[in-house]
Amino acid sequence: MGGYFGLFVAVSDETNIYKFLFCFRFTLKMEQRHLLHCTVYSSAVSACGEFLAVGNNFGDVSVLDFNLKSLSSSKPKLINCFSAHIGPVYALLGINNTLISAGLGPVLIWNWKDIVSFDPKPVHKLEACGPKASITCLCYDKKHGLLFAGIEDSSIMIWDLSNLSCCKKLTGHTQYIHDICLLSDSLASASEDGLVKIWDTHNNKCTKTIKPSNWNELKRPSLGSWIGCVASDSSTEWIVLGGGPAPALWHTRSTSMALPLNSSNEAQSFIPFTLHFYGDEIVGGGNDSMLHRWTSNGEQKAAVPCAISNIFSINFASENSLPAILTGTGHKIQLFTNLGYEGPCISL
Amino acid sequence: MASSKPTMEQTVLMFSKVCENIRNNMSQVVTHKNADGQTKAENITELRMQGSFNFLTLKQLNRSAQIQCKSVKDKTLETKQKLDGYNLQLENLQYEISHLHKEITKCMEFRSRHEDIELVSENNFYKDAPADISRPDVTKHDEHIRTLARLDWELEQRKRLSNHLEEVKQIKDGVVEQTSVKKQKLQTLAPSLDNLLKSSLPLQDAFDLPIDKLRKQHELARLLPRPLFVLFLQAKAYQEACDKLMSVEIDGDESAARQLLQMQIETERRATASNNHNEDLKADESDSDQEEKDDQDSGRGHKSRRDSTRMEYENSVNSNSLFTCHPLQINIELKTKKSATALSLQFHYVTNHKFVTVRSSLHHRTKHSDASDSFLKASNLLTCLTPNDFGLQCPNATTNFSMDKVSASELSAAFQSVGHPYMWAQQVCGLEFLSAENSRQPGEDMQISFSHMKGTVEKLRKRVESRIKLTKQLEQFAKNVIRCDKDVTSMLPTQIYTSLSSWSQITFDEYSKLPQSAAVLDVGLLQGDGKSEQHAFYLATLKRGNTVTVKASVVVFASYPVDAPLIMLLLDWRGEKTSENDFNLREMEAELNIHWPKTLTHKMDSILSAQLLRLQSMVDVYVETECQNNEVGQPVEFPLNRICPLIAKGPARLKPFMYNSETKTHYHR
Repeated sequence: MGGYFGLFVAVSDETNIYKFLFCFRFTLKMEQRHLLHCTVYSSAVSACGEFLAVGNNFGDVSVLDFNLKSLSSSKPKLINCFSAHIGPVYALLGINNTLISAGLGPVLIWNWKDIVSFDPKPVHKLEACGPKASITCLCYDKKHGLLFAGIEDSSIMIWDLSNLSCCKKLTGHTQYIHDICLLSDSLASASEDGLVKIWDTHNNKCTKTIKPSNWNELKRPSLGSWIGCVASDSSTEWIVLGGGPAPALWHTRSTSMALPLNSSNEAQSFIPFTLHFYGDEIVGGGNDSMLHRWTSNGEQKAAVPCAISNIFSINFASENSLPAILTGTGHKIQLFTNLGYEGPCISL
Repeated sequence: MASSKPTMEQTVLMFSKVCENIRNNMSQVVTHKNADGQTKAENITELRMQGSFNFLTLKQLNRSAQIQCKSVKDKTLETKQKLDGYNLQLENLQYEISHLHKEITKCMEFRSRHEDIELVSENNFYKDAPADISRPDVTKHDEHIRTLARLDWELEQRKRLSNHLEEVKQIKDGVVEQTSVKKQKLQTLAPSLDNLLKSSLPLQDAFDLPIDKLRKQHELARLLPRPLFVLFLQAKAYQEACDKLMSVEIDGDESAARQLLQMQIETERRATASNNHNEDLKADESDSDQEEKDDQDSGRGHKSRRDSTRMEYENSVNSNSLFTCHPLQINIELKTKKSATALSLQFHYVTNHKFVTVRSSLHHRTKHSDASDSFLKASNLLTCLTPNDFGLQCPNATTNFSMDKVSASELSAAFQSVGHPYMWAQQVCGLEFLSAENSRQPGEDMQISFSHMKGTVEKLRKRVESRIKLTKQLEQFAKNVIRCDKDVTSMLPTQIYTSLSSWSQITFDEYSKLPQSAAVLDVGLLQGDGKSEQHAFYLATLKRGNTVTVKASVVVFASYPVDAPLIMLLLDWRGEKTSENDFNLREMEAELNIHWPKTLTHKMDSILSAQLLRLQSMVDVYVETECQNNEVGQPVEFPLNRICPLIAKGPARLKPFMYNSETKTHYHR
């Protein structure tokens, strides 16, 4: 049991700001044993930017007080920890005043208000597939209000969040989906089967397929052919892919490899678990406890060591702005208020 | 000229009139003299006569004035005398008044003894007293009479009571006489009863009757300090009511205890005596001085003997100055039903710090190998019955302050000799250090003891049982055998290829140097504060084929099996891997330490074996699925012997460590 004593400021709706004032509250801190074996797979910042939620391998979602202004002076503090899923929480998304969590079982939609008032209960459930199947990644199309989810059964589900109905299902991969990424009016998906498919979301058809393991510069047979992460830049002209094959920058339209993203570490081959465009550079995290930075022409800019040995997710506070939130194996969350050096580290 | 007694005014008026007349005459004389006439002489003679008359009148007036003056003087004198008389009278009266005032205040200040007498209240007086004493018609209005009546009533009542006292005294005397007669009878009876008892001893032994022993125990119980007495009473009651396999006994130096009690009583009496009668004490001292002299004269008297025992006692104190134990101890023995194992506990009371310590020993008939035997005899047998109760700190906060200066090694040595002050031991002895001692209710310690007795005994039994089972498991591990119940093995694949190749105990220092232990220490599950040494540490080596070696470090917590053993892995195959750099090992550890014990809550006694079996099966899965990633064409070191619908799952591409025994397939959590 751990105690938490604090005040939190506000949960903002799009139009209203609800002021909440709580004096003190004892929350259930995770047991030491759980902390020892904890892996944080996902993180999400609330739309108001005040709270940070992280999901771990035990199905718990921990909520932290994440005040951007006071970040330099005080560390974010743990507010609440609640059990969301029976299995690992692979993906979290903060949309408007809701938190969407996905993992084992259905997609759950929570209200931030309920979470910070210590009464978390899912307001909606989006049934995807069987109760034993997991959802590994989520993606949100703000323009159309669509929620995309990559599912263990190698399909991609699309829900219309305006009426919470399932509208489409994309099938074509042969193994589970690792990551999905929204392009201008299409969707890119990376899968365990080693393929990256680009889907036309209007007619549910796969338009292009990339197989990075076919490229000799990228091939790493001992690591397999799976693709673990995909991300696109703001113009959606370029995407980065990585996994068993080495990470590389690809041109979307021509589906051709433009530049391999090299890592300076010779001793250990870098396996990326998450890649992102940040401004005009590419950031990525993986198995070597470093935040990698590449310029848009493929040169490695820096590799900044951090406290997380394997980085599973890099998240930005809001719309590609710092701080960057890194999570992975271990019970720690690493923040980067500046990409040049390690920022504060929070323990769950 | 006037009346015989003319007034003063009249006299004055007359005097002025006569004077006027004379003046007139004189002036007429002057005029006549000046005037020339014949009648001049006649007139003057006339006027001379008139003037002589006037002088005569003046003379008369003078006399009367003299008389009047005298009479006034007389009058004044008379009045003065009267005034003096009155003044004297006034003074007398004033004196009398002041005297009377004095008398009145004297009366007012008079304190009657009746004011000190506590009277029955007015209401009760009117209720109880007979009408001839209370006379409400008179007394209701006059307070004085009422008080008098109440005093009368008091007197009446006191008379009655003293009569009653007299009667009761007579009855008492009678009873005392009777008792003395009976006492004499009893005294004559005692030796014969003793004889009877002595002669019955062989009979008791022959029939195995504990009557005499019980009596002795009860006698000893009176000498016990309060906490041990509470323990003895409650444990005895629990034994009789619920647990026939438990035995409670008082042991120790009876005579020392008796002397200690005697000393305590004496010091207490002296303390009270010195408070009340200092003079008495002085007298007593002079007496004892005399006594001492007498003792010296007569060689060895009882006084010097008492001193020598006190010396002995103090010597025993000095030999272990940190803790002083009461000479009596309580032995509790818990036997198990089937196996011939008995846990014996010795409870000591540390008199100078007021807490209870426990030492334990385990006796069992069946022989075990040395390694496991030492585990059973280990000092951590009683630790962590309740969470974090290591028995390394004095439960009494005040003691902790006085212990500040004592070094840790000295403290541990002291605990070694008297036992450890576990929290549960304080509880069953009714000691609770949170509440202030004087605010406690008289019977509260009994209540505390009662409420903890059952739970503690059950916990102790469970602890011993699980330790014995653990010992059996450890013995098997030493022979590289892991056995488990059918309902555990049925949850695991039938074919297990990985095998245990060595099992050895390591120290905490060795453990903390292992690469996989860093995370454990980092999270704070184990701290290097002396408490960690209370747990047992093992290193298990598992092998699959010739290449794969898994070094599993195992912490068996003192609280085992409430807290499942913690297993951390180091895989030596294609490079050294720990949970820091391999998610699958991380997942395996989570399975072993969290999920697997959760599914086996009913089999916690054999949890260590179950964990190792599960580890073996997971190593199989790890190795075989890892070989699947190989490129086609290369020889496969370990072929996949199992059905895995999915090889990898999630961002970490975890392996299917779960097993469905019905479909015989491996799946992911």
